[in-house]
Amino acid sequence: MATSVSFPVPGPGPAPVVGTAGLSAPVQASLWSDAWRRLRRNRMALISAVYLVILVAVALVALVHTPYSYREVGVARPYSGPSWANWLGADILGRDVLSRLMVGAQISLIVGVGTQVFVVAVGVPIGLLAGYYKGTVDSVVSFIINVFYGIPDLLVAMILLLLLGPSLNNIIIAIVATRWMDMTRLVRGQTLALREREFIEAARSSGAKPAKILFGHILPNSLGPIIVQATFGVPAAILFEAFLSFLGIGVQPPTPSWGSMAADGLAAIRIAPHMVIAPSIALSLTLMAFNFLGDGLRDALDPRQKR
Amino acid sequence: MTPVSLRILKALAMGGVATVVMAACGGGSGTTGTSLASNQTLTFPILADFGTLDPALADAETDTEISQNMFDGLVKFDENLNIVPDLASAVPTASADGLTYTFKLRTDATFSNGDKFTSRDVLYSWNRAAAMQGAYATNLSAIDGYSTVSTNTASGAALEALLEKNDPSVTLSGLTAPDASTVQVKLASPAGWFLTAIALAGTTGDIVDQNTVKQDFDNWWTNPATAIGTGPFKMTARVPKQSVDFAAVPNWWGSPKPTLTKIHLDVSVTDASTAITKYEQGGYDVVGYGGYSNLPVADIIRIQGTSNEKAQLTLQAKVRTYWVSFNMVHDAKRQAGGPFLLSDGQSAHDLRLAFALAIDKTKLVSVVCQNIVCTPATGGLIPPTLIGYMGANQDPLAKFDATKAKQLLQSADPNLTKTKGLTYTYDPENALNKPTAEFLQSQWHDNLGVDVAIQPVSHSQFIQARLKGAYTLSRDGWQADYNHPQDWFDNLYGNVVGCPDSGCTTGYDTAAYDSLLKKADAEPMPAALADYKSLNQMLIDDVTYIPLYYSVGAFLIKPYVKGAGTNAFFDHYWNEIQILSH
Repeated sequence: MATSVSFPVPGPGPAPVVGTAGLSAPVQASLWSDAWRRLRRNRMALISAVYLVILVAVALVALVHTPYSYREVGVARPYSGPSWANWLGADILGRDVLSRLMVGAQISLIVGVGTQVFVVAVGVPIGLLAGYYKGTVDSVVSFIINVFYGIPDLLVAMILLLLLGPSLNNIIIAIVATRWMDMTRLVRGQTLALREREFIEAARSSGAKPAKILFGHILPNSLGPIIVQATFGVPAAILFEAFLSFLGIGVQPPTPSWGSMAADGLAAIRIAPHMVIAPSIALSLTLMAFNFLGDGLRDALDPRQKR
Repeated sequence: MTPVSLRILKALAMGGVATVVMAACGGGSGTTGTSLASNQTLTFPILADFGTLDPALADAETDTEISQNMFDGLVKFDENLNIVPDLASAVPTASADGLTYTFKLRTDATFSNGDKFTSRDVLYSWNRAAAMQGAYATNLSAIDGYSTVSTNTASGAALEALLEKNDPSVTLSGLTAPDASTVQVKLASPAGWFLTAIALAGTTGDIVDQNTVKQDFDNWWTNPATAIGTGPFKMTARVPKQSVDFAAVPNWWGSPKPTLTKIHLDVSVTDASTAITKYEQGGYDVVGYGGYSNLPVADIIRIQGTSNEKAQLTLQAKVRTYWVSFNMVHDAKRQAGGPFLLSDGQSAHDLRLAFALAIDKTKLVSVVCQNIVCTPATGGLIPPTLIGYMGANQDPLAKFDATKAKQLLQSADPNLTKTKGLTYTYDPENALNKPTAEFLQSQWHDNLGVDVAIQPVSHSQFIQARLKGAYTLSRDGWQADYNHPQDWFDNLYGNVVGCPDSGCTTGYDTAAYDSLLKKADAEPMPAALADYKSLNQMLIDDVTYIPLYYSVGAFLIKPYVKGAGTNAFFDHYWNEIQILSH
């Protein structure tokens, strides 16, 4: 289940965004700089951000260089532990675990970030429309959301992967299909609250069209919660992908995934624990980093946390 | 036939030994003694419930490994795979024309419920098995009239009614019983393999008791009251997917008399590693029995590194060969198509050869099997120890030659258009199949520059689809049913098995193959051997397969379990096992 976040709408005081560019720019700058100031105070969030930067760097380096080919079998004795030649040991086919871990980082980041890009692309517009128009549109959207919530995530993903075939793109599609509702529900709630605010009334009175109000006023004021929700969504997607790969229906060989690497190692855990430990630690650290960063962003972007 | 006096002497001798052993039975010391333990219960796991114990319908290895202790045939294999008498008093020889076998039956054999065994039981059992068309029904296919009986469509009580009135539609015309202790078998045409086929324990050659079968024609074997055979053990309790218990039959007619009093099969553990852990904790006496000797390589390596358990590990070459099959025929019934078709001539031949030579089989065995649970298949389809084995390094398809493979590919598919988008399909239930698939994928990529996707499909679905020609490249393999090349060449290729469109992975069926196979099947051994080897050579010349490895079974047996073990075909019979004091 995805981590859900709850945000208040922007509090009283000066409207964070108004209809004119001249007034809105300095207030926006204040909001984001204030958030950045608060984020810098959060040590765990900063450490997590540094870790994630390193992870991204490793994934990028793996595009051009890994110690060994991630798919070459027999570069070391199968099941052999860490050594100077193979820092994280070798797997069941004598492939270098470090090289596979580096390529696995690409997969995790692509799935994690890629999923959230599509979740935002799908969930935000639907949430905006449901919250703004209310009535029938909202009822229909809410009904669909409840239907999707009623079906187990794993079942939806498995059926989709069975129909579409297990590939990286289809894994992203399957995860988006099980995660878009969280974003939609969040944005809908934000929109429902914001649409009653004075600055929206003012925009509406000045003749602004719904599209302008939704994407020019409501969306910018919902960005904070959306960013935090997306940040929490990344580790959930990475974990889901790892789980699907662990079950054998995720990323297909020879492409390594941290989940499939752990699954391969499980059968040999008593003689080659490094095969499970290495991807598990990478997965755990990455999940923790995204969650700590998400926590930090939530605290930083929540106006009620102002001190 | 063993003279009566000799049998009495044997019985006296065995009784004497047993008395001495029993007298020596002492208290429970911490180490294994030579005396018998007071508790003669053998416990071992089978990792999935057997499908049936009905010899007419037996299919999986587990089915036969278990039921071979409950049922007997007229003849059987001994430890060295020689055919020896079982319910027959002697192994018959074929008549001069090779068409008639006359079996004289033992007169002292009984079923475990006391029913006397007679020739009538043989006729009933074999007619029934031929009419039911189970997986091993073709073991009886040489008998005259089989082609008629095999078309039977009646089942259940209706079939039983037909059998009871000896209806011609379910009666093998070549099977007769001149008297209660004689069975005469007339073959439709000479078949040198007939005796070996009916000697296969736990399958269609075994004898069932009509008196109990007819009480519940389809499910009699599930109920201890009706699961009756002539073997040394009988079922006493069964909880599906949980456990099955067997007990020794009192005063069993055969020999050696069972020492074990009870066999407990645990069916609740489905993972081999978990079973090994339970074995190490004292929960089992044996692991690997019952058709589950494919123990994980990682566990075997670990156990080989221990001082106390190492000696409990038994590795035994089994009669299984694994290879890669190509789809070689594309027609309305075979949908896979692909670039390896026989009809595409030399170009497709070269592609198949390129794919075969691109695989380093020695490295495969070293990496995937750790040189423990398999050996390179360099001697043809038939593994060592079996009749028909070509000899080490005699199969050119087993060679590794990346340079030649690349040259062949470049001449047959210079733009890599034919080999684009290929998929290798396998069933992941066998722990070696997935790493093998990944190894092949890596080798084709590294040595040919061809990217082949790998696709796991659950075993039952995989087998059904594969035999319908649904896969371009697929995992293939065969485990010998009996020690005769006919078992391989009849069941894998050619029109006897149904190629190209039925029950045939490759679709391979040529007039030359069918003609030579017919000739070989009719010949007695050893005359037929040269023809069978020529058949294997045909398959090599046409590159119908990529040989991978011969399988090795792994067993864990506690030091106090005496007599447990295996040969290339089957587990040692339970009545040969004793539990020593420990």
